[in-house]
Amino acid sequence: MQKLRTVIVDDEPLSLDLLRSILSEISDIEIVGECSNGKQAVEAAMKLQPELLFLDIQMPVMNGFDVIRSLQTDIMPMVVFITAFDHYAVDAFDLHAVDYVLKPLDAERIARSVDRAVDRLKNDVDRSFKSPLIGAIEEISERASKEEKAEEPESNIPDGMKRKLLVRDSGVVKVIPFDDIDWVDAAGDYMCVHADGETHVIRSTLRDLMTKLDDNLFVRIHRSTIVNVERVVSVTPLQKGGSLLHLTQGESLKVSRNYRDSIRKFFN
Amino acid sequence: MSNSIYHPFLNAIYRNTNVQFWLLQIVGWFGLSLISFLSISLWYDQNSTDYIYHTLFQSALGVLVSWPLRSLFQFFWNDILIFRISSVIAGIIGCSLIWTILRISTFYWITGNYVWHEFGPWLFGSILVFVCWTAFYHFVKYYQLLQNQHQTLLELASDTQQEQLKRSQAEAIAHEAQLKMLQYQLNPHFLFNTLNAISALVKVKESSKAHEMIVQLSKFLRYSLDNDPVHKVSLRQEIDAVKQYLNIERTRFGKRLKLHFDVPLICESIDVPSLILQPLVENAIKYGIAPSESGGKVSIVATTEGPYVFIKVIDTGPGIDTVKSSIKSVGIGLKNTDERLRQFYNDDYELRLDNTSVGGLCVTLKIPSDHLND
Repeated sequence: MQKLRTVIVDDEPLSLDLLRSILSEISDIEIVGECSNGKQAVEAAMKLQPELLFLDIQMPVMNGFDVIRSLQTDIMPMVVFITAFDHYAVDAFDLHAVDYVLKPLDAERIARSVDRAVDRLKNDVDRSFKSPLIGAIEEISERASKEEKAEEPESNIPDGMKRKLLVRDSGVVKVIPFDDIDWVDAAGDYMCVHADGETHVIRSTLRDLMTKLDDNLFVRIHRSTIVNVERVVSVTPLQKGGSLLHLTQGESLKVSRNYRDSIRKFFN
Repeated sequence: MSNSIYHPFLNAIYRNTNVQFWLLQIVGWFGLSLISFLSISLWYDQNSTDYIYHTLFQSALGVLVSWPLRSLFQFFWNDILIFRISSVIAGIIGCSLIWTILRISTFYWITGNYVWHEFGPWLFGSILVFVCWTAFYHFVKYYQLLQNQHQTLLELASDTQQEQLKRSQAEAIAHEAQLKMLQYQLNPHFLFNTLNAISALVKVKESSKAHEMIVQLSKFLRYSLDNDPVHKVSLRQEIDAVKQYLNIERTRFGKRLKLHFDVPLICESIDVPSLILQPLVENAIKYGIAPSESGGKVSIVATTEGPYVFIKVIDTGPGIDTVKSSIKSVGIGLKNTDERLRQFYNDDYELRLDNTSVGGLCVTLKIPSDHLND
């Protein structure tokens, strides 16, 4: 059988060494990339399109959860989270069937995660990996914000807010003008709205959002991804008919073959 | 007061014994005149206004005549029993005589009837009235005394209860501080990450480094567990423990963590509360180093100035928002440190947060520089 193309991410060099060492003894794994921070992880996931990602949660600047939020649903690899101690996370992972391993890393436990990943890759034709991950992350941030402040602040949003989106971030309602949205991807019941370098998660369906968003500005480029065409700075064609969109903020998004016509319309 | 449930007017009566006395005086004496009107005046068919006037007048006289009795009883109140009894008898007889004479003279003056030959029966009535007055006075007085005792007992009980509550609260705070200290010592995040790093060193066959790290971890844990947070240690011991901790963190973080120590020899023998620096250093790592991809530096600098020693823990992180840079707003660790310092030094210490000129945070600890063997 083909090896799982794997990227490993941890900010502690020793921890990365250990992970590499353990995984190198597992025949199903081929490590294609190593990253020591979140930003590198996002780039590696985009460029290398791995099937499996071992991702440390506690990292500076962009933590493991931020990495998941900013990755396009359609290219989301399977993810195994790594954490030293965080019982909120462990609870939430169990609840949403997200795989995780605890530090100190244990070869046997990691082998089991790899087995599980191999199984899922065989059986899960949908490749809807982001949805349970986002579910777990939302659960964790909800619990954490509940601990921080017991009551949610009252939100005063005037009616008749056209061309604006309301998102709730740890108890605070934010208003995001449509023009500020760079791209959006759907992960099951959740929508990840990427705007101004931040990712906001809302509960909605892609169809609902599409009816709200402006047809002249937003276009579907993949099964679960829509992009603000004004943000696109360049397009790189890929083999097999797909292409890669590069956005102003430096992100890249994959366009699937099935949607290439909709993109073509805008750039002609 | 427990009787605050009453109307304010009733409340005033309840508290002021003078008001009570005069109220009872008036009600009692004029109640008596009502009774004597209903029984005697009506019986003798003396319903002309003169008789009614006299009845009211003799009550007013009664109020006046009985007034000094109060002072008399109060004067002998705490005296030996024989004096008290004598004073009571003398008072009753004296007042009865005066009142009877006044009553008979005013009776003649108002109604024109001469009743001096009936002095005996009139006196008999007066004595009965004053015996009743005296009995009632003592009854009220002892009732009040009982009430006061009851109240004092209640207050005493609630005082002891409050005292106990305060004591258990103080104990709870002390326990909490100790518990937090333990949490610091056995911070699971630190422990598991460190074990993971050691496991990595073993796996990649860096056995001497692994060994070194195990020794450091053991020393650090032993120091934490051996030292009671209520005791003091020398600054040197404290710095050594912090060094163990920081060296472990440096192995974990690799190039991202730089360390700098500047503790002059003269400061090393100064005694400090044990484990006082640990939370500060841990905060420096957590907020100053860990969130930065390029890492940073943690410095520990000690200086003496007069009778004080200044110990600074400086990081190169983002610093803090000066608007809320009071101890209370920056997490449980510093609050705990502040509480512990207060336990040791009362108000003779200072714990200050400043942003450094390059943007990091500097936590300054100013404490009296007591030397261990002074």
